[in-house]
Amino acid sequence: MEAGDRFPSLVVAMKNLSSEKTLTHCRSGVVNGSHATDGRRPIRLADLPDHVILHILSFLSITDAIKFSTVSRKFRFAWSFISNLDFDQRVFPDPDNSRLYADFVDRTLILFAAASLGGFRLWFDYEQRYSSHVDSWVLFAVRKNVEALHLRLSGYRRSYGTHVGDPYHFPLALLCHGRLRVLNLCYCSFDSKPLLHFPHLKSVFLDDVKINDEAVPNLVSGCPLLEELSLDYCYTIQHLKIVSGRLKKLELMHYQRPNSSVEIFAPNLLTLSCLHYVADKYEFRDLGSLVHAIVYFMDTQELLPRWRIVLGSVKHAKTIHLLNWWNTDLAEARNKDMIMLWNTHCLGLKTGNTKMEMFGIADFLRIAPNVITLILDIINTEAVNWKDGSERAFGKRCLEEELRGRLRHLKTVIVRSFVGSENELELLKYLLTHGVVLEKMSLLSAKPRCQFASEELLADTLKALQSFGQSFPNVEISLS
Amino acid sequence: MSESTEKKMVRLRSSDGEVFEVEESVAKVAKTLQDMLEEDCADAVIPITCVRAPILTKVIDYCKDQVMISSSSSTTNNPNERTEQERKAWGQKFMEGVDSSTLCELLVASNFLNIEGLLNLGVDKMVSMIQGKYPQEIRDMFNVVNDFTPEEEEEIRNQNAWAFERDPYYKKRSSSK
Repeated sequence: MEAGDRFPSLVVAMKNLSSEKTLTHCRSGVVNGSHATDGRRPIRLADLPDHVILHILSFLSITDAIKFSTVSRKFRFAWSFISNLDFDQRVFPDPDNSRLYADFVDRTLILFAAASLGGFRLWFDYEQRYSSHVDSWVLFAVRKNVEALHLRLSGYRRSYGTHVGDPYHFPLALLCHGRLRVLNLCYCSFDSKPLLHFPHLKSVFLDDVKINDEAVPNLVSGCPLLEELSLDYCYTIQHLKIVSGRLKKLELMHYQRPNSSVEIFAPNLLTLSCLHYVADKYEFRDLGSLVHAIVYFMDTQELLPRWRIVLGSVKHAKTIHLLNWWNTDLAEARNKDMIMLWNTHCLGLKTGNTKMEMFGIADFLRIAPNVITLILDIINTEAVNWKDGSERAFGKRCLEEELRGRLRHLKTVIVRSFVGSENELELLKYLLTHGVVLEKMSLLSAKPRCQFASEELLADTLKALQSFGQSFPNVEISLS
Repeated sequence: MSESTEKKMVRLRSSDGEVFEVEESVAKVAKTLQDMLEEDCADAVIPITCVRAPILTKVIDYCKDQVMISSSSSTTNNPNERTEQERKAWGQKFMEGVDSSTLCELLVASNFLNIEGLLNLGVDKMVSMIQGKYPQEIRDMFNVVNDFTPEEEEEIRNQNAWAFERDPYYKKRSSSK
């Protein structure tokens, strides 16, 4: 088919879409729901106003949106007016054929008719020979004044670090001309140039992006509105330095490199996440505004001092989330000279459900005496576990004793991925007994149900907990 | 009608003539009705000519729930307040069992009455129904007549070969080629 044959129908489709500004502007007098709705003929799919159809299509991947458009003549070019383009190679009928997929993206963009783009998302199994394709797609999106650009060029079946060839070289300078607010890059690289200015950019997410030490400072200084920055698997940075008076949210994730350093100066930062970001030297200055902190480090001898430094820098935050992996050998070292979290009102713990980890929870409640809300994210570790030396190490400790008198402010307990194991139940009992001002306990069961969370066990647990809870009429216990 | 002295009531008439009496606060969840009530251009009974009674019942249920949530949200410790997760679960339950034709009616109603939350619930439901489906499956689900001529269909199929490649409805054709 020639392109000329296609365009007349496209023009008609455009006219239809623009002329039908249905319903919503009816404001006064008798309310009239204009077309096709005299109460006799049932409403059909074709009766839906165009903007509702476009709204629906904008949540679908582009392949689904195009499939929908071939349902009937009315919807023929509906997809070409949607405000979000979501290309996802994983849901493409032939996901292994990158050539076919690239052709499909090319063709779709030629037919795309909307004047501007809210979001452009691409998930593509990138290889170097497609770089000019990706260049043209990025250019297309920027010319359509895209607001959120998401390039995920990492093959969906490859794991990190197994890529062959260079990552996609992202033309960063292009963005100076657009209206981009959100940039999300995965498996790319870009040149760092000072003096580039990105007037609208608010959020930047870099995942497996190969950049040098200058790139982040240059980017931050070029984005006067930047509020959110996330770095994940950015191994090529050796010395990270972020100075920003505007940044509100910073995520540093998955990194380990010898002789590396992190230097953060962000007086208005509200949220700091440091997830398995292992540098040799940390320097956090002026984090006075910090409200939320998430600090995850594995529990090893080597990482313990780093964990202390980072936790020490964020200890004034109101909400702190920590990893409660319990390593028996480190219990003593960890509990020595503990940093007190006096300001913490909400404590979140990602934790296993072994006995050791229950003691870990008790230890954290000791260093955070003013906790009002306790959130436990349970990962079932009982199966992979031990039963060996740890009993010995904790033989002398009594969980109930350790919780007694420590829960003076605890009002709410939220347990996510609740399995209903004996240890969890025991802990909850003690929390009920000693939480003198406890008001609410909500248990959200593990979904999808893991093999340890059988319905019967959960039902039994709930029964036990409720019969026990009857002695605490002030506490509202819910399981969902 | 002793209640109406305490709370102002609004009457709505569905397209099939049934009259519903609801509190003004409930009606005002619908932006279209809110505007009308505030501009005082509502008659004694507001006719809602594009919404049938069963659908209007469902819409009113939704509005009542919204009022219930928002009425106590000013207090610091609101028992009706929902977390993101609870809200999602509630929405799913509300839309459970809604079939394709009811869904279309709900979407038209919530668009017309300008109830953003309900419209979004409907859109979510619609998205989950359409996702991953082949054109013929969607036609069957929503009783849509295929109004393409055979020639047009051939063209569409050629253009979007990828979309039909594994479509069971077209397998026969392509294998006979």
